[in-house]
Amino acid sequence: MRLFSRLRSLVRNLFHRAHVEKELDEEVRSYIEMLTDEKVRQGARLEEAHRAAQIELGGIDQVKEKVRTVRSGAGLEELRQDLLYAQHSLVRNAAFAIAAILSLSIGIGSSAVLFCIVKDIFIRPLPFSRPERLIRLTGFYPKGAVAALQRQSTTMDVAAFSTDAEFNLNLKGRREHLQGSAVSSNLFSLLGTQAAVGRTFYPEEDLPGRNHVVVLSHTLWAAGFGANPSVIGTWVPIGGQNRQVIGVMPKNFAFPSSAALLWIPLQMDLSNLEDYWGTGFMPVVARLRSNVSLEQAQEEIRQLIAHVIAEFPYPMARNWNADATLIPLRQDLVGNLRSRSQILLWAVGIVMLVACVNVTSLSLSRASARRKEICIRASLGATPQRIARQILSECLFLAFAGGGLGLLLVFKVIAMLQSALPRDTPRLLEVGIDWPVGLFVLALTVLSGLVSGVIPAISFASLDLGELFKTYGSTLTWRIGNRFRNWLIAGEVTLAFILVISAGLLIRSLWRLTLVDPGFGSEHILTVQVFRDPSSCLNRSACIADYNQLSSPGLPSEWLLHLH
Amino acid sequence: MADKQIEVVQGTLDMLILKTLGLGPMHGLAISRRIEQVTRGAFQVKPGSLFPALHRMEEEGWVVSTWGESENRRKAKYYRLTRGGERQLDAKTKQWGRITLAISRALETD
Repeated sequence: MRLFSRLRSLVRNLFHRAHVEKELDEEVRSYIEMLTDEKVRQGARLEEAHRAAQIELGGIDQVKEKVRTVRSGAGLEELRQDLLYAQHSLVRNAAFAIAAILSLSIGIGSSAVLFCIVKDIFIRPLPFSRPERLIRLTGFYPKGAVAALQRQSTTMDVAAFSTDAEFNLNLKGRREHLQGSAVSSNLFSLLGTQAAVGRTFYPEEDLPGRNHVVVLSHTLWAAGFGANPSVIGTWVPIGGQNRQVIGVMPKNFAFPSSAALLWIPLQMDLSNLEDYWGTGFMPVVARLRSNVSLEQAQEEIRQLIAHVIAEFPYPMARNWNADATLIPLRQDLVGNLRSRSQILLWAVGIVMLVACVNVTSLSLSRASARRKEICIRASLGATPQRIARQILSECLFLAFAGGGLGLLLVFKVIAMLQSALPRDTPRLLEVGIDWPVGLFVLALTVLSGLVSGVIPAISFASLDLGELFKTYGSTLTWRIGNRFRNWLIAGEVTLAFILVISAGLLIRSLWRLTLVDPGFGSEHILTVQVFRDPSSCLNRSACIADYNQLSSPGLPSEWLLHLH
Repeated sequence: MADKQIEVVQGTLDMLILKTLGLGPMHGLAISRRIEQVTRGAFQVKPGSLFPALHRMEEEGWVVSTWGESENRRKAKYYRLTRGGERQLDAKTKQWGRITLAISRALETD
């Protein structure tokens, strides 16, 4: 009942404001008239009675203003007025507004970009099933050692993956050079990811004669095969060998990084001792079995490695991988990004702070210009709180404009980062803008508005009105404001100096790097990378002859370009 | 006289107004005069506190207002107590009784 009554009042106050105001005006006027009548009856002259009635009332506008503040939705109404007023006053001071909005948008935008990165790279769990059970074994291991670990470990399942597999591939008549990864046949099941289309490897598909299969990434499937599901089962020449496409991984699957566009099984050929034990040392990933702690697995692994050393067909150093350590996979994937982004976090924090300080000092420096306005508002019955809120809402208004612009900036910068950073940056493609980012921007916007507005608001509200009128027309001295403003300006200049100097140093060192004399004349020299299918180099002497021909002088330039 | 006038104690203005309206519908000036009269001039209710209180209580649903004509044939806004207002007055009166009793007991104790 009471709630209903208040709700009805709220609607009336918000949407039928003109009517409510008119009634209030009539009510107060009728009060004065009746009071006048009363005084006339007591023997006063009409004009005197009228004057006395008005004095007794205490000012029509002041009474009305008091009634307005108790109405439901008074806060909303005042906020609306404040924002409208803020807009007017900012439009009048466009230069101030633009400077403040720009500096806030840069601060908010850069913080939000970093928030995106931190959230998606460091905080969000890896897109694998039970990612906290996934670990990386430090060191690099030949196929034979991987197989031995797989056989002997009782605490974890083990898989290996190569990070440097590169393939030539005919795509729609164009020869493309792609990065991929040769992986243990159990890698996908170990990570707990299933194919989006088709299947992943069967356990025996890493044996010679069975390993002519390939799993495509979603990116490659879409770009090279038109996302056609009927590609499953077809044979595709990859790296000079025909391979059957058996599956396509889901879109967000990126392992070891988003640079890997296809996966082939490792060839576990026991008869090829050199390949099995001597070359292609690989990183190893593992999943802890249930009820096994990281410590238990860690205890086992060093003993296992001692056993594996004995299995090498040639004498292996006794301390080979003696320091092998298990670390959580996430830590391994993003570990070296952490310190760099910590530096970024500080830098962005400083930018954000400078932005707030900027707006604060801009607001304060406008103080003198606004003194008349404050005087008038105060004399019309605005309380110090109301004036403080007015100043605060102006800063909030600026912050929201800056936040909106900052959000646009985030979209731009994320897209730019994704195209500019190396593709093997861990988890790069997982970075995206979603509702937590929106919330973050909103929170930052409100916070920066409050932070940059609170000092000007307090210094305005704490002014003594009598003092204000006494100095009306002369330059205003801020008792708290001035001292604080000096500090702010000093701090801001210091911060700006630090940022400019460190940016300058960075650019200077880059510049000097480009000037380093390499010790040879680099003019008229081309470097060419040649990628050949392994199958085309089976005949050793013919292969060497090919490369010799490449380095012969007087080679026609178009021939080189063909190879490239 | 002047030193005997006291500001209406915080929170009791509502109670005084509701009690006054218990006599029947009244406009603002009449409410103010009536309170002055029954408290023998001890309480002077100024329009600056009367109107906000009336409007707030109307929003709470304790009083309703209608336009009417005053004894001097002036257009005036009349306030009337509602059932909710009666309940509120009742509750406030009981609460006030407990408070004054407690305070006078405290003051009487040596």
